[in-house]
Amino acid sequence: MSHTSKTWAAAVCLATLMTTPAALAGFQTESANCYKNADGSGRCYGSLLGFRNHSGANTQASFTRTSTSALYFNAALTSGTTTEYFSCTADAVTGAQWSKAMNHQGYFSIYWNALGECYSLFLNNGSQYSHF
Amino acid sequence: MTKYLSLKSLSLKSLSPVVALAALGIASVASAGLQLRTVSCAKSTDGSGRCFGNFIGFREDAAATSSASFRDDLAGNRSFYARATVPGATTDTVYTCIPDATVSSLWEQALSSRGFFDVRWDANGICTYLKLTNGSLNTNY
Amino acid sequence: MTAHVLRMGFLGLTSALGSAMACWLAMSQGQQAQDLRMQQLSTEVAALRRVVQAMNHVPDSPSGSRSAGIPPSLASGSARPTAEDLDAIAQRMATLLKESGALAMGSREAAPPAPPPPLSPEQRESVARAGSLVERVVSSGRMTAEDVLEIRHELSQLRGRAEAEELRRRLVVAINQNRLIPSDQADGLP
Repeated sequence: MSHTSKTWAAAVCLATLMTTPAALAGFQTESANCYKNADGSGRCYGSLLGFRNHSGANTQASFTRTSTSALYFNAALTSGTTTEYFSCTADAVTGAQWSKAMNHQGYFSIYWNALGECYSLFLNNGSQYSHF
Repeated sequence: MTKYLSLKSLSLKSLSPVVALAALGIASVASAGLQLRTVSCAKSTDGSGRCFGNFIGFREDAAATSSASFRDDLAGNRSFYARATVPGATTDTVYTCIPDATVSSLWEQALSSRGFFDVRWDANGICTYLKLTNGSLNTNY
Repeated sequence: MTAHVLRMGFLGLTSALGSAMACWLAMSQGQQAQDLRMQQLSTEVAALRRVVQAMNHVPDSPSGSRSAGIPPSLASGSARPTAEDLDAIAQRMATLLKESGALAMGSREAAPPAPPPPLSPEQRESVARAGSLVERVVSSGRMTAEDVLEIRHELSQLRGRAEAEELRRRLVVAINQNRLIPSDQADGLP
């Protein structure tokens, strides 16, 4: 094999090695969604990283707990120039799971009723949702 | 009289061009929702005071000695301990408190917290209020 | 020349196989992602279905004898309890408890917490040493990393004792009032 061919072969191998990690990257996904019904009830779902990296300038989602026993969820979703805000306070059943939400880093889905009570909380800690 | 010794709040949005340039060599972050770095500590002459902000804010603060921590040891000793520097000052200030029973009930949560916190204490050095938030604007998950 | 062509051909074949493998992996991961999403949706739908089913099972008006405290519809497990059912069950439970005398036992006043045991001679010495160390650092207005370790060592002999908590609190108040400046190297409070 000529020197030029060897050089090309080495370059191809090197390029393959460098691109291999990208080709083998596991599944990663980010999403941020919220909606409200006419009566004020609604849902937010997606990953916390998805809200953080969402294209909307004011988009965010957060779970809060205070020493005065307040447990609440807040979110904002910016679409274009419009930001819509969402909020609920945990009912007793959801509140019992709040500690998990406070440490959560992955996908979540939270529903609230017309009274603004969070009544359903789904959490999913998966490799696709956050940096590990 | 309350004297605010340090108050800084930085929105990455305002620095997005700079951040974008800096990030080119590090990662490919195309866009971002609301992201904040916050460092704020204040105390009165009687010693009572308040610190709030997020861990990422203290960690990436311009002042090299800034830090904030929630501590616990095997003997059950718990404390909040922070250092922050007033903008323009040359030295930092220490802020600390020991949680009362109510605040202590949230301490385990504080020990694993990665986001926003708000700690307030009285003149006796007792942390009387604690707020913790796990949110997308405070943590880079 | 022939060898060169063969090598190039082999390289091309390897490249093609690599591409095929990459495509297969990508499709496989895409399939996994889809499966996961379906699983996630199924879980949420199942939860919603359970809620709806439970709502549909609420009886119109339970009837029948309540002398045993349990309406027949509940006893059969076919219905969710109404507020009236719960009251009836609570009433029945209270009656049974009164008859058994369990309520009288439970109504005793809670005993006041026992006072902490007296300090051992070693602990008393630790309190004295920690106290003088705290006094010294507060008087000097400085607390080094060594001071912190030394005080922490003494306080470790007083696990959970109010005496230790009081000494730590004195340091906290002095720090917050800017009368005591911990060294940059100090690892926080003792």
